[in-house]
Amino acid sequence: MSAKPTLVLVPGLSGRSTWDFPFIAPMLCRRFEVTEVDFDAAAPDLDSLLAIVDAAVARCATPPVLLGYSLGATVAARVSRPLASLVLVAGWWRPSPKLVAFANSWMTLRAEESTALDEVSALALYSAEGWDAARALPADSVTDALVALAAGVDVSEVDLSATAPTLVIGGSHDEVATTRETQLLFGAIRDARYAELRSGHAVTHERPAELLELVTSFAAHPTEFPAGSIISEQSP
Amino acid sequence: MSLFEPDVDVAIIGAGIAGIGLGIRLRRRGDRSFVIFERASQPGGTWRDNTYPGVACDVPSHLYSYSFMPNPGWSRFFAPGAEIQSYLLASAAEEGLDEHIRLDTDVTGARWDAGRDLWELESSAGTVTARVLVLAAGRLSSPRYPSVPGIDAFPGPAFHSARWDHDVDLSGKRVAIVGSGASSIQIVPEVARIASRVSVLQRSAPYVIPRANPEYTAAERSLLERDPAELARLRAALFWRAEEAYAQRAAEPQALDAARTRALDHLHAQVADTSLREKLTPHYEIGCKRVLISSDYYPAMSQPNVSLEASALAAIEGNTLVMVNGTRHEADVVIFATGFHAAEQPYAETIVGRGGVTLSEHWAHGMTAFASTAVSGFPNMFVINGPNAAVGHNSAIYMIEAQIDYILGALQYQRAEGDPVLTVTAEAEREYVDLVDGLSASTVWMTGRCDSWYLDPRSGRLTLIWPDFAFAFRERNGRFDEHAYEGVSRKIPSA
Repeated sequence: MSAKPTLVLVPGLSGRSTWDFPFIAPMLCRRFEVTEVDFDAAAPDLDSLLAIVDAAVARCATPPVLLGYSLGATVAARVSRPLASLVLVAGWWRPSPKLVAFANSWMTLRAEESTALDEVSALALYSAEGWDAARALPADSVTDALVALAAGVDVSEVDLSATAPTLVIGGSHDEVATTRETQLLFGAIRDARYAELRSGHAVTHERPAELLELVTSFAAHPTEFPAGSIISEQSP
Repeated sequence: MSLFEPDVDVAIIGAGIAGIGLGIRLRRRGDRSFVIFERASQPGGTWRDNTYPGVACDVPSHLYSYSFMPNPGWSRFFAPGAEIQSYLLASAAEEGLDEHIRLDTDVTGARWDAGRDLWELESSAGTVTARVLVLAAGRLSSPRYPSVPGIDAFPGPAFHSARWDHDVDLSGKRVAIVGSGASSIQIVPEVARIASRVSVLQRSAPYVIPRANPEYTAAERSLLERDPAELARLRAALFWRAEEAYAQRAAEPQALDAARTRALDHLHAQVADTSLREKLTPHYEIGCKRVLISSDYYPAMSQPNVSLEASALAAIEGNTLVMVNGTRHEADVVIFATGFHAAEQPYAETIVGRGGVTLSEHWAHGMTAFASTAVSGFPNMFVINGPNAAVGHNSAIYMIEAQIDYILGALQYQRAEGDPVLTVTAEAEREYVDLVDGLSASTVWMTGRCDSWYLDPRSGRLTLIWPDFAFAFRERNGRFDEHAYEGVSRKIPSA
C-alpha cells in the first residue's frame, strides 16, 4: 500500500493544534500523515513562527498540503518550499481595525485580570449561529504573545506570486480577521479559489465537518476548480 | 438499443421514500414512462408500516425530508411518524405520481431477458416488461421475529412493532415487549401509561442520549415559509452538525469518550436505582449498535409497573415467556420490537440476473454493489438502500438522494448514447468492496465488541452501513461514471 500523503496543520491565536483542530486533525489522520505544528515560544516573532512551520514542511517525505488557520494562515502563506497545495482558513491580507481592537481588548482585559475576558473573546471569535460551539480561548502567555503579534501581521508585503494551488476559506460572519480581508487573500494570490462557510472567525470549531469536506475534496483535486473560482456552498 | 419495446422504460419496486423520490425526479425531468410497484395499499414505506404509539423520527425533520421538497411546516425538531407519512403522501400527490404508482401490486419476481435486453416482472397484476429496474424495496421493511418454540401458539394478541394491531386495547393488560432497540424505546413509555404491567425483554442494553424535541413556533414556521433561503441554511447547519458525529463511528477516542459520557450521564441522571442502572448499562462501545435518542425511556423503565429482564427470549409456553436465564414472564399481549431482515433482503431471492443467477446467490456472502448501487451480472438494474448505503449518524434521505442522482446520471448517459445496456464490471464491484472493507476496518462497528444487524452474519462484513461521512458517499457515489461498466474502457478514478 502506498504511503499516505502528508499534511501540515498550523494553528491560530491559541498556538495549539489540539485546541484549534479538535475535529479535523483526527479525521484528516485517516487519509493523511498529519503534522500538527505548535507555537509554544515565549516571545514569538513572525520569523520564528515561519521557521517552525518551514521546518515541519521540510520534514515531510513529500511536499505536503499546508493548512494554516487564522494567524497560522498568515504564516503559511509565507512558506516558500514546494507544497502539494495550500489552504488558508480565516486568514487576512492586512490586519483590520477590528482585529487590532480585538488584540487591544485582549491585552487590556488580561492586564486587568478581568473576568469578562472569556466572554469578550468568545463574542469576538464566534458567530451567533455557532455560539453553542463557543469556548474560551486559553488565556496564557503563549496566546498573549500571539494575539499581540497578530495585530501587526500584514501579508500584503509578501510576494504571493508563486504559491501552490491555494484554497482560501473565509467565514461569512468573521468580524476578527474579517471576511473582507480573507477575500483579499483570494484576490491577491494568483492560483487561488475561494469558499465561504457560515461562521465567525472560529471556523474550525463552528463548522468543522464542512471545513473537513472542503479540505479533503480540495486536497484530492486541487485544480478541479480553476484559479479564480468561487466554490459555492453545498446544498445537502 | 433493444429491438423490443418494453411496456415501461423504468420499473421501480417500492413506493417508500426512495421510490417516491426517484419518481418525483423522473417526472420533473419530463419522464412519463415509469411505474412504481407497491405491494401495500398506500405509499409511504417505513412511515406507513410503523404506526405504533410514540413512533417518531430520530433525525431532525428539516434534514429528514427531500432537499427538493422543503417543508417549512414541520411541527417539531423531530417529526412524529404520522406527520412524515402525510408529507410523503402529499409530495407524491403534488408531483403527479398517483398515475405512476400501482398500489396493492406485489412484484413476485423479476428476470433479465438477455434476448430482448429488458426486465420481465411478474406481479400480482400480471407481467410487465421494463428497460431498467430499480429496487427501492427498503432496508427495514420485512419484520423479523425471534425463532423460538411456541411463538405461534401464544394464546393472546401478538404482533410486530411494524404491524401494530390498533384493535388491541392494551389498557390494564400485561404486556411483554420483546427487544430494546429503536422501536422499543419509543413504544415502552407509551404502553407503560396504560398497561397494568410491562415486561421489557432485552438481549443487550442500548446507549441512549437525551432528546430535546422543541416545537417550531408559528413565527419560526412562518419565517421558513417566507424565506426559503433560511430553510436551506437551517438544513445545511443540521446536516453538518450531524456529520460531526461520524468521528464517533470512526472510533476517534475523544469523540467516543465524549459520546459515551453523555449517554451514561443521561442514564445516571434518569435512573436512580443502581441494579436497574446496571441492567441498562451497555457492555460494548458506543456507536457499535445504533445510538438511541430518548428522554422518556429511562423514566418509563423506573415506573413501578415496568420491569426489565436482561435476557433473551428462549421460548413461549402458553401465556408465559421463558427467558434464556430461566425467568418466566406472564403476558396477555406480546409485542415484537425485534427489528427487520436487513442483511439478507427477502426480495433478493426473486431477482434473476444474467445466466439465471439470483441476486441472493450473488449476495450469498453478503450484499455487494459498485457505488452501493449497481450489481455485476444484473444489467440495467440499480438498487437503493442496498449494500453500504445506510448511515447511523445522518439522514437516510440524503443518502437516497445521492443514489437517485447516480441513477438519473445513468439514465441520462443511456439516453445520450442510444440506450446501451449497462452492466457494471465484476472488477469494479470488487474494487469498491475492497474500498468499503478498508474504510470499515477501524470503525466502531467492527471494533466495538457488539453483535449488530449492520454486519452480515455469514461473512462478518459490514454490508449495511456506509463507513464514512455522508458527504463522502455523495462525493464518491452521487455521480454516474460509465467507466465502471462493461463495454466502456476502464478508467476508475483513484481513491
